[in-house]
Amino acid sequence: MSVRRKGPRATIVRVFTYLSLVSVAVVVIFPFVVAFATSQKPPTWSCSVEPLFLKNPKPLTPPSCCSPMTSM
Amino acid sequence: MQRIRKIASATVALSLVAAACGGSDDAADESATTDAPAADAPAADEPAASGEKVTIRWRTRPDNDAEAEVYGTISDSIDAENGDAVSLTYEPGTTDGANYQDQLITEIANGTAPDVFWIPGTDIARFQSAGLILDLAPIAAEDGFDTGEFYPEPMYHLTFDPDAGAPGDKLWGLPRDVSTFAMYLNNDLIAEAGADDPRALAEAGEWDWAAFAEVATAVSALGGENKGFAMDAWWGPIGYFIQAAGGSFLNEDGTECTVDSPEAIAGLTQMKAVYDGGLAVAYGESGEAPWKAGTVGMFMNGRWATPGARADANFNWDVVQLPTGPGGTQGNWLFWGAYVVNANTESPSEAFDLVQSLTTADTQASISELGANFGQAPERRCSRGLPWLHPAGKRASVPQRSC
Amino acid sequence: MSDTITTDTADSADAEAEPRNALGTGLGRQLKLLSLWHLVGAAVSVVGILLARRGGDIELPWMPRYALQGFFSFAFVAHMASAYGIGARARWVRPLSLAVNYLLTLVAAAATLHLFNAFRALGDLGEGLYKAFIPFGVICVGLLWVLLSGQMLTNRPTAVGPQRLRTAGWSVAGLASVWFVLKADPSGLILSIGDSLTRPLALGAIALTVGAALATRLMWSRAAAKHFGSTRATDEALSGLAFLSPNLLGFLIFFAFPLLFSLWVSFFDWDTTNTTRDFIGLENYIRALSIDFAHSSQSNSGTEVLKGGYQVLANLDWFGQHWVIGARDVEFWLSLKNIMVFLLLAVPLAVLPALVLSSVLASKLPGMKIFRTIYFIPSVAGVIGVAIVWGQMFDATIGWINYLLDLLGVSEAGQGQGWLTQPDTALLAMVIVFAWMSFGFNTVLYLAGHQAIPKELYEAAEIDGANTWQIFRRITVPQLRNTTFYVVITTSILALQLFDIVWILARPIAGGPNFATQTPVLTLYQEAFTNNRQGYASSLAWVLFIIIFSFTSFQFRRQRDEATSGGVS
Repeated sequence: MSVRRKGPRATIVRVFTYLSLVSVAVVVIFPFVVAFATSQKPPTWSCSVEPLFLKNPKPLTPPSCCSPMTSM
Repeated sequence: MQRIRKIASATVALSLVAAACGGSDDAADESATTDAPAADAPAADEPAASGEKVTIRWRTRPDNDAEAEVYGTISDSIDAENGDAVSLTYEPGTTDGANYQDQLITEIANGTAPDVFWIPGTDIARFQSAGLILDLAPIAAEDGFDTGEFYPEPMYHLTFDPDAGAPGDKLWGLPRDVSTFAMYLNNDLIAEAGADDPRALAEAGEWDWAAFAEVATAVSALGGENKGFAMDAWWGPIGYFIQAAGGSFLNEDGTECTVDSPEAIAGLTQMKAVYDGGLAVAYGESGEAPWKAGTVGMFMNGRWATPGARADANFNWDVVQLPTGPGGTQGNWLFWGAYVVNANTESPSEAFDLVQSLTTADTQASISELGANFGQAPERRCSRGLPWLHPAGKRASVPQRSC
Repeated sequence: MSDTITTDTADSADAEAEPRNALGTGLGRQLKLLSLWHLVGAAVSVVGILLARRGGDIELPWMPRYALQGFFSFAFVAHMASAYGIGARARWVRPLSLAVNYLLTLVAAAATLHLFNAFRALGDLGEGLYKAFIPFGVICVGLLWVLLSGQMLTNRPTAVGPQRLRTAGWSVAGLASVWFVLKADPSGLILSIGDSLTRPLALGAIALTVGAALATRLMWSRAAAKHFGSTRATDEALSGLAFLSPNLLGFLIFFAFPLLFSLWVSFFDWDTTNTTRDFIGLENYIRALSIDFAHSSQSNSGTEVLKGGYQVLANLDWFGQHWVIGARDVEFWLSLKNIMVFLLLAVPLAVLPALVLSSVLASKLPGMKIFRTIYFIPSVAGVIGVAIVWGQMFDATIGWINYLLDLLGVSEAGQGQGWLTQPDTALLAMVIVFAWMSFGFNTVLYLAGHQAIPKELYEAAEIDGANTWQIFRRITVPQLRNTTFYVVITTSILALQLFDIVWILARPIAGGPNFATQTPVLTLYQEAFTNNRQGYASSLAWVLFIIIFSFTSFQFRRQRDEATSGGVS
């Protein structure tokens, strides 16, 4: 549809199109990323108030590791 | 005692083997007392000259693969001890696709259920009234089996005669494990909040609802995701509040629902106050995840939560008994599960032998050692009644005595 | 069968008035045998009926007893009719006899396989394959070489290399086969087959299979077709049915029968454990659908204003009047209400994004294939696993959703929404997961629909100066009407059967909190397996079926009306 159009307006449309496609894709993929990330974590990190993707950036010293929200 | 029982059961097993292999003549004198099982033994069906094997299938509901493996190992070792007459197959039950009990009922209806299976104590009456489990009393009587070795509380239910409305000459199974609620504490968080240590309070006899509310308030005051208290929303924790206030779900003889009694309402009011005051993880949400994440001061759960806490908790934790309510009691539950025998089993006697083997102190100790069922106390007892069971192996107070 | 056709004198009595068909002597004799075969079959059926009635040595439960009686009665009638029909040279006898013999062949073959422990041997075969996996792999490699060389030899038939390769392939495969046999050790299998061969029952089953197969073949033959004056149409129908039979039989046995059986069960008070079974007519349906309205003087009235056995479904206040709606099965009515809300929310969410996205994806912009693949992933992922992940994400404390909302400043830490545990959002969470799972598949369906839209329409529209929205609204959407219809119907049916997502996601128990996510299929499951009421559960299943059926037929009618009234708007 908008493929054949040219000009700045078409570019905006195209960018907008891709942005919406990507955002939907992110929503679709997200649970799988979460599942993959969980599979990579040791059990101690699987329950964390601040959900983490791969590794907890904070050192393993209680209780700071357990209440990151309070330190934020 | 243990040895005598072992010898006794070995003799019975041997006589059964003899009956199975040699026909009726050889074992006549010994099986004279065992008329019922002899009739049910597979020897009756086929002339098993070559020693037809009896296969007993059994099932539990393991929480994870490691536990399933432990039971598999136990099954193999009992199998090896039993010799060639009986072979055991362990099938770990799952809760993935369907509820464990639902699946069992369906299998029983279709005749494909295992011979021996574990069910929670709360399901015994349901399975019994539907005629799904076997009354083991006749077989136990022949074996001279002593049910007095077990904690009397579960045995009350396991020997309950529904016709008489009281315990009688019945045996619906043998208990595998008992468990109670405890309050799991995040010591670090409680200290950070500057609250009194519930363990000290309990020691001093001051661990009641007021003290509980104080600790919960202090921890919640830390802000953020931190909450003083968490529990899972099912009848157990709710029942604690009712019972500790002096109420009960049902009346004495279990014929009437009494959740609208003043005591019960007082207990539920207290529970609601905890939630309304923002002192607890939102009602209905799983308590375990935030507890493991370290944002919960006190987490009410059974002994079964201990393995998870050991594996996953990244903070100093301990347990304390439940706070005493206005009713003057802890109002704790006794959770237990039992091995029962399928009513349609082809070899009831061998099945009961397996149930006995599974509930010996030795087996239960080795199950504990192998790591499964860790939070649970082996069911055998020596002399004293059921105490409040401290689940943390840290204090090594799991009553592991072989009688 | 003999293909030579000569005039039959012996059977002329049978063929008296019909000189149009000459009979082969061989065929005549064979047909006599076949007639006898059917008579014997009828006799055996009578024995079968009697045995099933008496139960023989073993007391059969009532259901197999009736089933066997019905089966043998049917067999008896079919055999007698076939025997008569062959003698009378009736036109209808060929399909009938074919059906009887074909089914008999199947049953006998299955029995034979069973008596030879073939079904268990299949398991052993699997185990043997597992034990001898490496030799099996080597055999495959050898055969692959042979195949490869064959390919090469078609191009250059005289090449030496490929010929050598072929020889090598065969030898490797041959040697590996020996290895395979040694490793897999089929001696047990061979022994058990030998053992079975000495049993008269097993031999009888083989004989029956062969006999029935021969009878089938005889009736199938052209000669028999001519003899019985089969028309071309009948022949074609028979061939069609024969091709269809594997699927058809599977459908009848594993689908149609259980379906009808559940209808039967729904008229009973029937325990899942088979301990109770009382015929109660329509009582199950009455119980499920009973509803009671009562007028009350005060708001929030309870069961006291309702008829006995009814529980409060809803309290309504209309213009200062208080009404109480009660039902005998409150859970079922609540689940109906929930599923309707779910349907209204989930179907648009699963269909509209698919429609829009497919229009974008159908364009020739670069990278569309990647997006297409990504959107499709949730549809192929396992429902249970995906639902568990979503459950983790919805968690109020440690879940991603509340965390992200906190980051965005929408909510405050520690005050996060309990998505799954608050009655007002729990169903919404299910809607989100359902839409997330199904929109990708719908997108693909729409993409297929896009292929069928004539490109001229778009060209014409562009020339006329239509903008993107106008093109979408006036061309794409109307042109995709049939696809939309299909997508809406299938998605709705899926939504009405919502179960697995709720089973995993609902907190603290399935259907919770406070019945906010109770769905009809969940109610049905709980009645059948938790409350042990198979009969009642079956009646709920049929009520649900009727609902889905009427919904679908309503949609079909609307679609047809639209089509006849011109459709494209």
